Amino acid sequence: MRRQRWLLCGWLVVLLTVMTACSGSQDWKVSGNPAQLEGKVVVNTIDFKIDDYTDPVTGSKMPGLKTAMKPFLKQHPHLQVEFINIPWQDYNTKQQTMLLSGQADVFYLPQFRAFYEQGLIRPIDDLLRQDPTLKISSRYQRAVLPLIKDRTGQHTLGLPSGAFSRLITVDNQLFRDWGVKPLSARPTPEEVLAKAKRMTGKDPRTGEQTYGLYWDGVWRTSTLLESLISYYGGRNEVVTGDVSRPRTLKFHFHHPAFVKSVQWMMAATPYVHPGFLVSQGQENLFTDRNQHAIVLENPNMEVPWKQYVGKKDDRLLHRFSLRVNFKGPDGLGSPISTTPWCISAKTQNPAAAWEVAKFLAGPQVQQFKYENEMVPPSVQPFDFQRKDDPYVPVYVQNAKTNTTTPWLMDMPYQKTILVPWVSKVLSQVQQGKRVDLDKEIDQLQQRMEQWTEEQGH
Amino acid sequence: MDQGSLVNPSPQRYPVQIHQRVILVLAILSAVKRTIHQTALTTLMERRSRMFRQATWGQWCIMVLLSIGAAIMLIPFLWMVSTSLDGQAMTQVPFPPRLIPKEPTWKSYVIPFANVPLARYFFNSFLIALCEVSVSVLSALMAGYAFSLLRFRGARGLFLLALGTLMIPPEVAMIPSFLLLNEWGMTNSLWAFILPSLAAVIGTFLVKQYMDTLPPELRDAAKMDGASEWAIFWRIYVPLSGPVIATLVILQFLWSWNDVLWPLLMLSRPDWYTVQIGVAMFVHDSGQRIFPAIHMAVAVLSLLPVLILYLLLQRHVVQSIAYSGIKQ
Repeated sequence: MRRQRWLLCGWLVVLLTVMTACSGSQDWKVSGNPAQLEGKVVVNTIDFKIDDYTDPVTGSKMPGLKTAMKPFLKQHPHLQVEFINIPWQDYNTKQQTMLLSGQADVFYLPQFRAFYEQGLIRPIDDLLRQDPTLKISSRYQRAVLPLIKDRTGQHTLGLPSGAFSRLITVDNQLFRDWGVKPLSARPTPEEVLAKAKRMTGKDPRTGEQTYGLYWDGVWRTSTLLESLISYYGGRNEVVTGDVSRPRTLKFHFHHPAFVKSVQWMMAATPYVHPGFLVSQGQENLFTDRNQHAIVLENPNMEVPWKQYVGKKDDRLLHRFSLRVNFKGPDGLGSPISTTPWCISAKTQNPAAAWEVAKFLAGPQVQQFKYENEMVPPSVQPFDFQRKDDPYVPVYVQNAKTNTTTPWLMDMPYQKTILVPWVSKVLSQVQQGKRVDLDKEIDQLQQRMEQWTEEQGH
Repeated sequence: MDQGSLVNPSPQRYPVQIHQRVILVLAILSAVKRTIHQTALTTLMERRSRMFRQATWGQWCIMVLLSIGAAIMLIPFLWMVSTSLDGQAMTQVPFPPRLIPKEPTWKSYVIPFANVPLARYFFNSFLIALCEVSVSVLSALMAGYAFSLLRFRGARGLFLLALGTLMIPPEVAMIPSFLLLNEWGMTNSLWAFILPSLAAVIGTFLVKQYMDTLPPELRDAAKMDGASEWAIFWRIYVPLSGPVIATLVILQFLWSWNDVLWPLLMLSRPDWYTVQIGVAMFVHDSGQRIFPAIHMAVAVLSLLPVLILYLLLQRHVVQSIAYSGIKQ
C-alpha cells in the first residue's frame, strides 16, 4: 500500500513536470536580466532603410535602422539581431512563406489578422501579462490600441509601430497664388469643395495647371469614404452587425450619410487630377512643383520633413500645412492606422523575440523614425517632439478623437467590392455620363448582401 | 549481313567506316545548313531590294504605316530613357510633349548605386539566369528530342500531360514548391532555381515542334552507323537546333531576369537578392512617387542585359524565321 502511495506521488510529480514543460510560453520569464538573453533574432521588415543611406530627394546622408538598434544591442551583448528587408511588391506572399517556414521571429506585419487566423503568429497577451515593464494602455495612444487586436477584440496580436492619421494637407503657396482664404483649422467637406473649385485651372502666377483637390483613388478612397460617412453621422449606422461574424452584417447603403458621402465625391471629381482613380498625378506631390491645393487622406509628410532635417531647407515645411480630418457630430471618426510588430508562432526564442519586438515598437525606435522619416509616433506621452515641427501636433490632435469604423477596417469586401464600386461611379462622372445613384446603390446593396450570404457561419 | 546487324550495328565491328560516315553526314548537314542560311539571307536581301524597286503606291502606304507603327512602339522606350535623364522628370505627359530633357543629368543613375548594392544584384541575377537558362534549355532539348524522335509507349499521353501543366497558374504551385524546397534546405541557394527549371514545358514544346521539322532519316542513318542515342542527339540534332536554342535562351533569360516573385520567395539574404528585388525595394518610395527619373534609370539599367543578349542572338532568331519561311 505504502509502495503504491509512493508510486502515485511519483507519478503526480512526473505529470506536473510534463504539464509545466508543455505549457508553451509559460515556461520562460520575459523580465529576466537583459544581459543574459542570447541567441539570434531575425526581424522581417518591409521597405525599411536598414543601413545608412543617401536620400534621393535631398542627397543627404541618413541613418538606417541598424543605427537605431545600437543601444539595444549594447544592452544585450549576447543577442544577435538580423534583418530580412523585403519590398512592398508581393510582400504578403513573401511574409506567408516566411511565417510558414519560420524564417524570421519578429515581423512588421500589415496583414496580421489574416495570419493570426491561419495560426502563423502568436497572440502576445501572455507576454504582456508576464512583463511588468510594459503597460500598453499607458504607453500607446488610446486610438491605436483597438488596431492591434484580432477581429473579436479579445487578443492582442502585436505592438504598434507609428500612428498614421489620414489628414488634410494644404499647399499654402497655391492658396496664395489663387488668392483664396486659407482653409480653416477644422474644415468641413463643403468648405473644401468650395475652395477646391476656385483653385482648379491655370495658376494665375505660374500659368501651370493646378487642381483644387487630390486623393489617391486606389489607396485612399475607402478612408475618405470613412471620414465622410463619419462627418455625416453614419459611422455606426451604414453597416450594422458583428464584424467578426460577417454573416450578421446588415448593409444600409441608402442611409443619408452614405448617399451624401458619395454625392460629395461625385461633386469633387471635376476638381481632382484626372488620373486620381489609378493613383496617377502625385509625382510632384509635396515638392516645389506640387500642383494640388488640398490633398485629402494624406498619411505622411516625409518629403517636406526630409528637406528640412536633411537639407536644412524649410521652404516646403512652410509651404505645406496640415488640417484635422473630417469628423462626425460626436467629434469622432476618420481612420488611423498602424502596422504592428508581431511574433511568429514558430519562433524558437520567444523571450528574445519579445525583447526585440518591444524595442522596435518602443520610444527609441519611434523617436528615430519620427526624427528621420516623419513617422508620427504612437507612444505617449513623447518628450522627443521637436519644437520646430508643425506637423506632429496635428497628428496627435487628430488621433485623440480618432476612431476607425470597424466595418470598413481591413474587411475583405473593402478592396474587392466597395472601392471598385466608388471608382466605377466616379469614372462615369469623369466621362460626363449621367449617374443614377439610386440604381447604383441598389446594385451595391445586392452585391454586398450576396457577399454576406457567401460567408461561413 | 542480316537485317538485325543493319539496324543495330556494333561499333566494334566497323569502327573506321562508322567514323567516316558520321563525319560525312555532319559535313553534308553543315553544307545543307550553310546553303539554307545563305539562300535565306540572299532571298531576304533580294526580296527587300526588289520590294523597294518595284513597290506600288499601295505598298508604299503600307510601309509608311508600318514605320509609323514602329516609331509608336519605340516611343515608350525613348520616353523611359529621356525621363531617366531628366532632372525635372514627370511621368505624366507634359504638353507639348518633349523627348529631350530640359535639365539633362546623370544623377538618377548615380543615386541607385549609392543606396543599393546594384552591382552585386546584377551579378546575382546573371548567375541565376545563367543557371536557369542552361538547365532549362538542356532539359527542353532532351525532352523535346525524346518526344519528337523516340518512339516509346505513352509518349503522346505524357506529352499532353506535360502540356496540361501549363493550364495550372504558377501562383497555385508557388507556396507548396517553396515549402518543399525549404524542407530540403534549398532556399537561398542556386538549387532553388535549378530544380524548377528542369521542368521547362514551353521549351520542350518548342523544341519538339522544331525537331518535328528536321528529317528523322538523320537519326536512322546515324543509328545504322552505330552512333549512340546521346551522340545522335548531341552531335547531330543539337547543332541543327541553333535557332530554337537562341529563341529559348532569349525567352528563358527574359523570364528569369524579369522574375520577381520566385526569387523573392526563395531568397532571404540580402547578399543573394536579384536586381529586380533591389529595384522593387528602391523604387517604391524613393523612385516611383518622389523621383520618377530614378525609377526610369533603374528600369533602363535592368533592361540593358536583355537588350544586349537580344542583339547578340538576333541573327539566330531571324534565321529561325527564315528557315520556317523556306520550309513553307
